[in-house]
Amino acid sequence: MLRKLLLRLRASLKSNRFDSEFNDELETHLALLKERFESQGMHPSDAHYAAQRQLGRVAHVKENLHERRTLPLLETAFQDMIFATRQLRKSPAFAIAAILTLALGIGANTAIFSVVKAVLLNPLPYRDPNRLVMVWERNLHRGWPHNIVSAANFQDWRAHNHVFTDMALFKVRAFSLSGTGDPIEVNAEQITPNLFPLLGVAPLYGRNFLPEEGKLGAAHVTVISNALWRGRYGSDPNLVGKQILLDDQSYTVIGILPATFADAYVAHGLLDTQVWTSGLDLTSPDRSDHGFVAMARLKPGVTVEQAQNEMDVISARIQREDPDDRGWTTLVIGMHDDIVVAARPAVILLTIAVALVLLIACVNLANLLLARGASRIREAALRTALGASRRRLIRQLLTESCLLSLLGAGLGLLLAGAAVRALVSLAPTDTFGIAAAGLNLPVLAYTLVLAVVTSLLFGLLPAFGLSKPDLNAALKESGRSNSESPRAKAVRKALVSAEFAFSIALLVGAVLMVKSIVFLRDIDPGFNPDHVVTMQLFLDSPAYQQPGSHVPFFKKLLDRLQSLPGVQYATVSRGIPFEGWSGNSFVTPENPHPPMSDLPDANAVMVGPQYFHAMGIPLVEGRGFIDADIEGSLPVAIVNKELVRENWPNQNPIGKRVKMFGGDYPWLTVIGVAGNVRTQGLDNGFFPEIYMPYMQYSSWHERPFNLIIRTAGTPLSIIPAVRHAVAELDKHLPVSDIRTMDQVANETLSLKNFLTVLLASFAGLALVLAAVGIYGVMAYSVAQRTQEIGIRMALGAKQSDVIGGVIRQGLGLALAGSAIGLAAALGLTRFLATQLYGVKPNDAFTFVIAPLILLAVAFFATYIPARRAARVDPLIALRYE
Amino acid sequence: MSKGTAPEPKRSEVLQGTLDLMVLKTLETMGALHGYGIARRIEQLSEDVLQLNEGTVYTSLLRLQHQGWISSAWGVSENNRKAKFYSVTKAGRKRLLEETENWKRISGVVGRVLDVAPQR
Repeated sequence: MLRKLLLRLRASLKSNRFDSEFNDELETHLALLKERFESQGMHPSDAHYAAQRQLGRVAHVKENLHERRTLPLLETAFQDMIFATRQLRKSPAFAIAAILTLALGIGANTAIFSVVKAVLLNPLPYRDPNRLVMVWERNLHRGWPHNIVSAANFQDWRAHNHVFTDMALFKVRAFSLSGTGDPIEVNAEQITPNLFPLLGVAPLYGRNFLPEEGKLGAAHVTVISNALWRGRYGSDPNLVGKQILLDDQSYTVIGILPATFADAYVAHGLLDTQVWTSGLDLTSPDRSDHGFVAMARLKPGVTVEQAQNEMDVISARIQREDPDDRGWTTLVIGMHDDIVVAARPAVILLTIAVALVLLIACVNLANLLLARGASRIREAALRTALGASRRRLIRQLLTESCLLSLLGAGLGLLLAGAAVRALVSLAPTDTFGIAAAGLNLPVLAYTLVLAVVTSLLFGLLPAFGLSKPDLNAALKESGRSNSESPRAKAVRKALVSAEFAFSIALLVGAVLMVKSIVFLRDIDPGFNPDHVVTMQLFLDSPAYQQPGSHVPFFKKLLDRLQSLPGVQYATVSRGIPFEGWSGNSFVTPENPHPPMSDLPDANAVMVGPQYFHAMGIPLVEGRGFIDADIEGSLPVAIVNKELVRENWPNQNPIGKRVKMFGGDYPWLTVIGVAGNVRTQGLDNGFFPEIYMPYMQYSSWHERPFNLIIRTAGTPLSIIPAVRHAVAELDKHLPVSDIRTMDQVANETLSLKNFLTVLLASFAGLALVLAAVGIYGVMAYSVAQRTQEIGIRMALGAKQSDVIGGVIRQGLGLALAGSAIGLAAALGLTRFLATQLYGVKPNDAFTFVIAPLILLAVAFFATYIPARRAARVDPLIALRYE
Repeated sequence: MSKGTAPEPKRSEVLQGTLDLMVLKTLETMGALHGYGIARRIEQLSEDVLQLNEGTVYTSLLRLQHQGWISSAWGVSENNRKAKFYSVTKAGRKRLLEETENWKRISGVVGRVLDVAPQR
């Protein structure tokens, strides 16, 4: 079959040569036949005719053979293409309008699909990536569905499961990297030695960790990323075996990862890890000490559900054996699913939105073609009379649509190229994989298929309509060449209403998102992010290993910074709002031994003096931290209103005490109450917080690492002065991650921003297309009815009546479409619900304003043809038949 | 004479497949032949019972070529004209064997069916 097809194709392309060769064959045959007859005694001219008769009708044989030998389909398709091109050249305005519309519609879909491919469809860069899962702990009773895990539980799972080939663990941390070049802060992971083999990743140079190197206190070895190797060490091929300094300690480089590797599994936060070490401390028997991230590889044939079931059994047993672990179960989720959990609904939403835009474009084009078709009825009738089959006519018309589509798709690809780049830069930075979005082969294939499907969508209806002309009426001399049957008119009107229905669905979605964003932006975060800049300083090097050595350092630094011009307040903290949760369980004297499953939990934040002034957090009672709150004086804490509400409602909290759970911690006396801060995001509520003065924890390993400065003028303008101040105290200390708090706050909204901008753009595009659509239909309708309008005006109708009539007709179409669209939107906005905040999916305001906007657009689009109708001169109109 | 696009009626009913088979067999027996030669041979063997439009031979030859059972090469005919010579391929010989067996089997059955005396 295939061989036959290929032979035919080959013959098609060389048909001229084949034809002439066959001619030669036939000539020879004829000549031989003639000779034979002559030798039998026939007269030469008789022999000639006899030979021809014997051979059969040559022309027929040739044609028969040609048809069998080649692909007639291909040749007629080629003919149709040439004809279609000629037709399009004859009406350039129509062609340009159509191609532009298609370019916008197809281009937008291509751009979104390239994002879909990159984010949702591209497999993770590991071996058999859909066998990889993440394992989280969860305590639904306390409202923690996705929690990091404890080493004790991990060891248990690893020992007793039958569903995983292996399990690995890692902990995210940072190192100060020095040695060659300036010291910098690098993101790192401490991993179990089996992590890379579990993923199926082999180093480019060197080797992986050995099992011995995973033990606590083992030799200091490290694997580094390809980017670090290229950037900092100049792709030195002999780097393996050399030493680098991490936190001023010597580590031997044992391996360098390939450039194709990406730490996708650190999804939430996209850390871009540069350095991996091992030697995790997994000895803690405390099952509530959650500090690690776990992943596993499913055994062949095991599904995620089966793995979840087994893990449920194991965690049930653990809870029975260890009542302190009550309430803690596990969550087993595919690694890819886990990574895209935020992006997936957003991307799907955008795909639907952009498909709606394309539908509207198709309807527009169908209308355009139908209108244009009316003027080609004569041509169609002629061709039918001359013997063209209906199928052939349809094929030819579809070829025209296909040509338009392909040209539109070509232009659309150019637009899509730019659009994809814009999408990548606008998207939230932690969307894994989006950097790979581009016009690659699958995307191009998608565009081609889309072009063909689109051409069928808008071309089929007009093609069917046009291919069966009423020959009698169309060919009559007196027949108006621009007539349109009432049925065609009704179809076009229905199509325009459909356009409005689609548009309003998009508009409703866009308005809901805009409302949501505005609401979120206006939400009071509980602090004042304006004019505040933050940066990170990690005091991890051996110079600060001495317990308490960071306290005088920060004191000196803050004193210097405070005296800088432009600085209003300078302070330090461990963590900033919107970035993380440092959960700590605590007890109060009123409730000293609560059940383990119900331990009160708070966000514990270590801060410096002036923290509340710098962040603009109101202190509603008591005082802030002062220099006198140092190690040795009364251990103090400041709590927030939410903690007071939960633990001491309607009581005076000043003087009350709290104690961190699970160690030999001192009782802290509450000396102040701060206003609530939405530390977990603008769309999250308030949580209990405990602030502690870092100066009282000088012996702790945990230290502040955020420097926070409130400025009088532009926040970023004081950075050079700050760097200088830091360098004066320690010239090896890197300052990293410099951002304003405004930027930090905005980043939490980045996904919603992204969606809103795109939805609003698509809604705008849809409105433009719908406006063009209704304009086209109304303008055409007016042109058709020139005679009728002329009669009306001659009989006394005023201009305003005519305008009114046309506008009423147009608005009627828009209204009908809107009504249907709104009904559909009521059902569909449910899917938008997860992205909305402060707005209900069936928000009344939205459902009123969207149709109003649409009707306004319809009004303006109809007004122009209406005015033209009113300017009809009755005398001229009546004169033309 | 037929008008329009109706196909030319054949002078006698010859099934497509049968003609292909005869052309193939001819080439196997006679070696390389051109279209004229094949037509003559078939006419000879059928003792003038089969009178076909010789042009149909070329249709048959095209079908056989598409199936890969014959191959072609340009040469010179007996009257010094350019002619295309066709010959059987290995696949063609194999096919011929199968088809011949088939024919014998079917014609045997048909023969037996036709020979059965009618019931009284």
